[in-house]
Amino acid sequence: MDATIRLLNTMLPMLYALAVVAYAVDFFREDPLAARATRVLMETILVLHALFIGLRTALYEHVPLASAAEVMTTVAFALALVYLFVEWRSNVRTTGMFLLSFSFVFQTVSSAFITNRSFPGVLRSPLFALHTVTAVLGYTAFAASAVYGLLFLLLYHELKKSRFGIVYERLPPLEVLARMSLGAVAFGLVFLTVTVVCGALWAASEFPGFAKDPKFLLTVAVWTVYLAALLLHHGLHWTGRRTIAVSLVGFALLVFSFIAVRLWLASFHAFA
Amino acid sequence: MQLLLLGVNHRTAPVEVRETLFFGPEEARALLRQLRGDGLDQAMVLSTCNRTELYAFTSDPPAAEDRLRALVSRIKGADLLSPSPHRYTQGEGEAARHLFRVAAGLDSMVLGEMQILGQVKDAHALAREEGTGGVLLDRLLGSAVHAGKRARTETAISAGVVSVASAAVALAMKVFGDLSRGRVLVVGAGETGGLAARHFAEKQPSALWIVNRTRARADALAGEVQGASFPLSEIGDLLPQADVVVCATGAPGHLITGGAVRRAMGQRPHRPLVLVDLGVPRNVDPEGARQENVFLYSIDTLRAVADQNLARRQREVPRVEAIVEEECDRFLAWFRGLEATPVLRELRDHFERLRAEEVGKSLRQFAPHEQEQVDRLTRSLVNRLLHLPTTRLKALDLGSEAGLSRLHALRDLFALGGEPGEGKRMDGGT
Repeated sequence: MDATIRLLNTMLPMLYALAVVAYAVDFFREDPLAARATRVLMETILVLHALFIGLRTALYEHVPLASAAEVMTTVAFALALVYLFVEWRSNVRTTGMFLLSFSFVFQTVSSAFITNRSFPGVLRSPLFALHTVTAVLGYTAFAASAVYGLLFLLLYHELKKSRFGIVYERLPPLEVLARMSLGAVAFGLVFLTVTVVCGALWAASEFPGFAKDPKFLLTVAVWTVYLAALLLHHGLHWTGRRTIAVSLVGFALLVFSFIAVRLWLASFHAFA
Repeated sequence: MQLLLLGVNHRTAPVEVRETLFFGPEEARALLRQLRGDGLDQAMVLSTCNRTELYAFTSDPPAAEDRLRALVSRIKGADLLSPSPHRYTQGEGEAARHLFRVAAGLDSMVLGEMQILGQVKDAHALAREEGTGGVLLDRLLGSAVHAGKRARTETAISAGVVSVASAAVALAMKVFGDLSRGRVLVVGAGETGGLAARHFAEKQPSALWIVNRTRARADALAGEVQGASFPLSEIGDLLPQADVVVCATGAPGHLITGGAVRRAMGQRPHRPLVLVDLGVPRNVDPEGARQENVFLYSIDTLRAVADQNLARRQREVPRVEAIVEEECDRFLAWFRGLEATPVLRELRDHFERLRAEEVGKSLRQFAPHEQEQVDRLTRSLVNRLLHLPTTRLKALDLGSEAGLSRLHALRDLFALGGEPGEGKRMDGGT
């Protein structure tokens, strides 16, 4: 089992690199061979990556979220999963190059530094496992939403300036990008809700003062901003730049919460 | 058996000649039935607004050409396919190559226009329905359609839009993705406005409104595109409701001012508005484009988009020509492999080689004066043995399945040459 894990650890960055290349060739050259290769590659990658995570979980008796390198491989997997879901829903492949580049980078760094570190016994609770897995999935969906949002703004700018280059030609229509971005927000919001609920239930016994924890408060703020983006879209029929702007504010707050907890704020989340 | 092509197209004949020679489906059926009755049992009519071409497999091209001309003259009442600068006639290799180029969009009036691929398929289907399909025509059309599909999927020969009106639609689609829920307002029911309205109508928007100074023209265009017409005075009320506005009038001032756009966006702050200004002088105040979610495009911008796409298509021509050559060569190799003469020659060579080998082994056993007799005797024997197969081979109808299978069997039995098209793809792509 250990040998298989080591082999997969070496293979995964190469497979992600191949996928990025295939998506790039499809983006720039509209090569039908590359287009077919993307789907086969993605399905292979997801199966192998799921196997990798499953084997690690079984062998080392914890979900691979105990170290930065472990979190990175899980994020790489989740990002690829979210991307394939969005591609399947929208039938648009031209954003794969952008999103999967992140998976490639995360997986490469993870493969280089991942170890079999032990971690505190308090984190062995199933509630904690659900909390962390859904957190990774939710944050990954928000990252995907941010990428789609930025692509939306890029295309909006090109269309406004009447520039009809590769961005105009290959990116999906503005409203499709907005739909992809907001779809990812909805996906992320569901997971983040589970994250917060599971985290609160688990922390209630382990960390009674968790409600005042800065990470918890910032996460609730992120959750509120994303919920607002969806409500503005569905309730007040906001479309276009403003909704995207609100969701990007949510993502900025999310990134800030990560940095702040690690650098400036005292939080019981600091072990992760 | 040879392939004959007789036709006119947009390069060789003016529209008056092309429209006279146009064959609707019923006329094409009638022509095919008569061709079959005349012995041309593998023939096809490809007739579109840009071309009328007759393809036929025949063992006597000059006679077949005369028959085609006579039949077309009888149906159309004029001898429009007689030798003239308008018409062209091609045989075998060139005729096949021409059809492959047509299917690949290289011979279209608008380079890379792929509607022709469907028209080629329809023409083939019609021929099959009327009993003028057959092995040769099926293979020819299958290969041509395959070449067309390859051109479309492997190159950018049909990528992008190459007319101003379709560029306007493409830009609107780039914003909305789907126009079926959008409302389109066309201001001006002249030639340009009409063209734009027809292009947008193809996308089946939820509403298509036509506004014109002369109401009757607006009514007529609205009737044609299944839209609704309004007087010019209502433009202010329609503007906030529309998602796409196309202006194509010769009005001297701005029909849509910056203020009008601002007011319209005030009533629909979060929905994008695409303004397409095809008027000269401009019908839309450029100030309007300063508003958030407003995308304004002038006729120059659209022309630049169309030209850019056309240039891109032109850059793809060498790649498409290479596909055409490859597929055409493959077809011709198969087609030429069907001829009886080379098979006969190979068969005779095969027997002669065996005879010479066997005679060579035993010749020394004979006296010099007997050697000549042995040689003559064995030659005569081979000739006698091959006489009947030769006669029957020459009589084979190689346009039929039965004839082809006998030829294949013969080649297989004696291991003559390679199987026609051996090791190559046999699918036609229809």
